[in-house]
Amino acid sequence: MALLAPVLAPPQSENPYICPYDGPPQLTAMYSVPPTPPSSKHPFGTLNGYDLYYGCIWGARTALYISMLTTAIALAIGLTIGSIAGYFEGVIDEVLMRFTDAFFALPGLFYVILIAIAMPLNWELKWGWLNFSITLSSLDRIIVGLAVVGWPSYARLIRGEIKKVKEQDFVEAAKAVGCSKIRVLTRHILPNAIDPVVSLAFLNLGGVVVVASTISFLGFGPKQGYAEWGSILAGARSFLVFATEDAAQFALMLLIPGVFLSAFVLGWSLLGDSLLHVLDPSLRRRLNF
Amino acid sequence: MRLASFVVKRLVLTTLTLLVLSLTIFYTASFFPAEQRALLFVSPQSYHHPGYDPWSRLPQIAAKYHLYDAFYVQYLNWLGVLFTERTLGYSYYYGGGIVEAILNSFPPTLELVMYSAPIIILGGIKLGVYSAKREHEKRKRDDPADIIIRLATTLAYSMPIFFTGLLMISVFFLNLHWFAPGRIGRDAQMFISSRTWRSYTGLYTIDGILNGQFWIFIDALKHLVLPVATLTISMIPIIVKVTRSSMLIEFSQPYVTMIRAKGLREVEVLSRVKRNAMISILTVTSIIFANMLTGIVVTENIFSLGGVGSLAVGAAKNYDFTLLVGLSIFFCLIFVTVNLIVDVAYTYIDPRVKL
Repeated sequence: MALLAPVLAPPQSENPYICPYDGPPQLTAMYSVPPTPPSSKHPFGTLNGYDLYYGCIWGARTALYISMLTTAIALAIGLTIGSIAGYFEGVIDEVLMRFTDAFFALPGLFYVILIAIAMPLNWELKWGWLNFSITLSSLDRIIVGLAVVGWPSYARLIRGEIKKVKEQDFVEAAKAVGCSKIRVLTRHILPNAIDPVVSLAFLNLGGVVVVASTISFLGFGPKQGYAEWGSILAGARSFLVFATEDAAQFALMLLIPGVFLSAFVLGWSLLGDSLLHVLDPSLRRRLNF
Repeated sequence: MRLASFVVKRLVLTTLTLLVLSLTIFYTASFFPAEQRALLFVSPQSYHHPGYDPWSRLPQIAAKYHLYDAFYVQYLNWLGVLFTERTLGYSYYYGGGIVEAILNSFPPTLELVMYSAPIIILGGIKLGVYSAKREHEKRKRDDPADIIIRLATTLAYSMPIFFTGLLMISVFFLNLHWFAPGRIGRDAQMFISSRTWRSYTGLYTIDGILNGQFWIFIDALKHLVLPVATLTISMIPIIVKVTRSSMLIEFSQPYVTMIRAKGLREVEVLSRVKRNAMISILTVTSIIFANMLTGIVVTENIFSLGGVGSLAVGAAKNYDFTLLVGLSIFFCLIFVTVNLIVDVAYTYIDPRVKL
């Protein structure tokens, strides 16, 4: 499997988001209507009046959006806090790491749900002359929540790596040449310490989408009809009661989004696994995967 | 002595952690409008009290409890209420105190965990050890049993738990009619609501036996099969993966060759390797615990078991933030306690670890 992963992973993780760019036109909203079986117009059938095929294809784009943005925000926070803690030892390190530990203990799902229902959608920022407003979608709220929950693992990892790299001679050399602290940290230490964090981020990409779709499955995500696998499955669930009459048709509407979601997660985890091998085989041990 | 000082030190840190967490959670909750948050201070009994209209008085209540003030004032206030009145507030979704709500909906969750955790942990370790053993002993090509285990775990790992649960329900309930969702059947439910039933623990399987009603035990067990299976399928891959990889790492260590050279039997070698591999399983406890929490919430929701997970989802759907804050803090507490236990357990499993 490990040998096959580089061959298997790229197509599986890239297929979902190559298709959507020339997907069918925007779907039209309708009231609750019974699902229909696949036809020539709707290859996967419809669910609640929405074209399932469109939802699945564009769901890949949504999933990618969620995973990328969440990981980017979490990485940014985690890298900043972790590298500061790792580079400046002593009190700063202790305080920042206790802070990180505290966030580590946050019950992820509950907190993200709390953010998903509590955060206001419109933000008006006023800093002196700087004055602008941001409008978030319900998906963005989930992303913010996931990022808040996700950054501590990156912070912890980068801190450990930096502590290791810091002891090496080239850092001493850079200091001797007269680089400032920030330059030493960003130009000399970080590039040498970042590899494991990157592979952890790739490993997490799939898992992030699972949590996000779980939340929209529970009903705290975007509304019905949004191309998001979790909410499509939630819609399929509400029609499941009728499945006794025509099992095959209903099985399809449940299976298709589920398989898409599983394939997405599978793809990223395989890619992350292989990346782990390429970058640093010994890392497998430290990350326990 | 050393252990005691360690525990005390950790307890101080834990308190700090809880403070930071409650601050974060409270800050998130403070996005809600002040009038809605004023409900925290309104006892549900007063809703039905004649001549008292809590709804129109909410702005007054909000002003009285400083809910229009700056965020940190509110937080200190909330902490003060927590410590002086020993209450987390009232939940309008549940219609009672927060602690009462959590304790009353705990039995179904406990029942679910009680039956699935042994299967997940013991079964996962067993499968992982078996798979690693086959991989280690293979001659040239991969062992079929190992391949099957790895393929199955990878597939199960990538299947989100709600998808697994929906598949289970549509196959075993809607098409085969073997099992049903819910906590208990209709007949058993009627018996439980009758006066002859005495509730000892709140767990229907145990209470059924204690009441001498064996059929209720069977009924409750039958209703637990699907949730437990769902939880197991989605939780077991992590443990299998971690066990397998750490076993393989241990197998490649020099000491294995050494004890083999000493002439130990294969069973004895395995038991030594296993003990060392357990250490790395302990380190992922927190990940497993977090996943378990998500799993429980989703499983309870899909199979309508009505435990803590259902309570949380219901609270969130009704924007009952007090209950959500209470639940989050409750789970923080559990999480922190588990971590503390794990840290102490390290010293028993691995004598090299210093406190």
